[in-house]
Amino acid sequence: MAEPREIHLVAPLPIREQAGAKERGTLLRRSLVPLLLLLAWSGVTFSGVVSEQLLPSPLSLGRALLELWKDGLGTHLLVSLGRVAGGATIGVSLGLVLGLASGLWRLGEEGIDATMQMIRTIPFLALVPLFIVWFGVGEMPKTLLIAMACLAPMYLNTSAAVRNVDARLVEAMRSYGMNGLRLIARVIVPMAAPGILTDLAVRALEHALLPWRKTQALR
Amino acid sequence: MTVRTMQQPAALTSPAAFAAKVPLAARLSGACRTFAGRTILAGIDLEIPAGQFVSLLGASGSGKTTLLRLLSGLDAPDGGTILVPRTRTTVFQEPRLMPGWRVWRNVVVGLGQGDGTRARALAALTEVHLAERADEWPATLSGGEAQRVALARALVREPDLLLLDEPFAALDALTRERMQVLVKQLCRRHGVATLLVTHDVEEAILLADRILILREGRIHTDLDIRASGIAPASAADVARLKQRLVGTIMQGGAAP
Repeated sequence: MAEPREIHLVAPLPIREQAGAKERGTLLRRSLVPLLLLLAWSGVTFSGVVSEQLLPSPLSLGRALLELWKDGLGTHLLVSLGRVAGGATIGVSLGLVLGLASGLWRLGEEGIDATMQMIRTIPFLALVPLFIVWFGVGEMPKTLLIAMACLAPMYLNTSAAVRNVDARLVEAMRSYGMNGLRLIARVIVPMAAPGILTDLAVRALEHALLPWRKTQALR
Repeated sequence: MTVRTMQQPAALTSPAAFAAKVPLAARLSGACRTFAGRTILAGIDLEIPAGQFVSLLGASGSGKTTLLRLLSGLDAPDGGTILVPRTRTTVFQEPRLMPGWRVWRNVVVGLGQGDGTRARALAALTEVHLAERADEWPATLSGGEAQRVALARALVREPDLLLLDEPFAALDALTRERMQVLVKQLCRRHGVATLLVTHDVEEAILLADRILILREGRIHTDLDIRASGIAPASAADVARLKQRLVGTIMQGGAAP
């Protein structure tokens, strides 16, 4: 048998670094690159290397913003955000209901899914002229456009989230007497909620803001 | 959920059991199940008297779980009849608890407002020695504890038939041993007829009054091990019985 080798013992270095020390100064480190970019922007514009026509300086941008604010940018912003809220509420609610129906029941999936998959491929901006012809240039087409834009993503994620609920858990709940609306409201929807809410935050509202910017053209 | 099962207490008595005045907790005749052209159960005839603890053995893929799912009503048979009590509950291989409900609410899931009380849940949790965890979330429980909650959830309904689908398979050896003792004790106390699906022959011998071996889609062996002459009295007896059962299971050729 071989002679046992000498083994040098060391204290193990922790693989995960201490969280407390790292948390300090995180805001500073995160804002470092944006601040540097701002500095570079100011340097380039103030030194006169690039003309104001091509790249306005941060200062003139600020002035312009102030002017717009005095012109009533705040109230315009509120009106627009109200429009987004209205459209998003309609689109999100409808997407939620249709997504639940499609995710829960085979009949719902058969009835709704193909249509929704087609609607989802329509670029909503292509609808702008149609909506103007149908509804004029008032609030209606803008709100509807926003609703249309969040409907599809909300629908897709809701139906997927419902379908992804652990089937074994649902089976167990059924075997213990949960069924019908009680099963949907107390088991399936709560289990699907994380998926639905992530989508609500990330995709549906993003899609709500996208046409909002475009609908500015309708003003 | 539609369950193709009915209960007729009067009709649920076999001639043999009738003589002994023992009601039946389950009766199957010619029960078949086929998956994609492959026959898993080719015709199961089985009667389980009330209060009996039955262990169901068989090589993997022999249809043990399929049979249990027919009894629980989770699957419907392709042929034959299955009669089971109205109150029957299942403990699955995984705990299958709702993560968003506290432990005690998981225990009384599906019971009405009047029956699903905290007091009732606590009584059931006390039986599995988890009363002090009643207000915690399932995620804070260990695997064995979660499985004990699942057992409490099954027993709180006072079922006439308890179906156990390899409930100890995912537990470590020490926890498994404790769970086996607990299950045996509780099933005796509740006097509930129990069908335990397991691949662990020793576990089957330890817990059961009767051992069934499923082979080629039928019940190949039906052994009343509490009967005189078979009842294992010593470790050597258990070892001998185990060897015999393992031999019978393997002859099926389904397992390597």
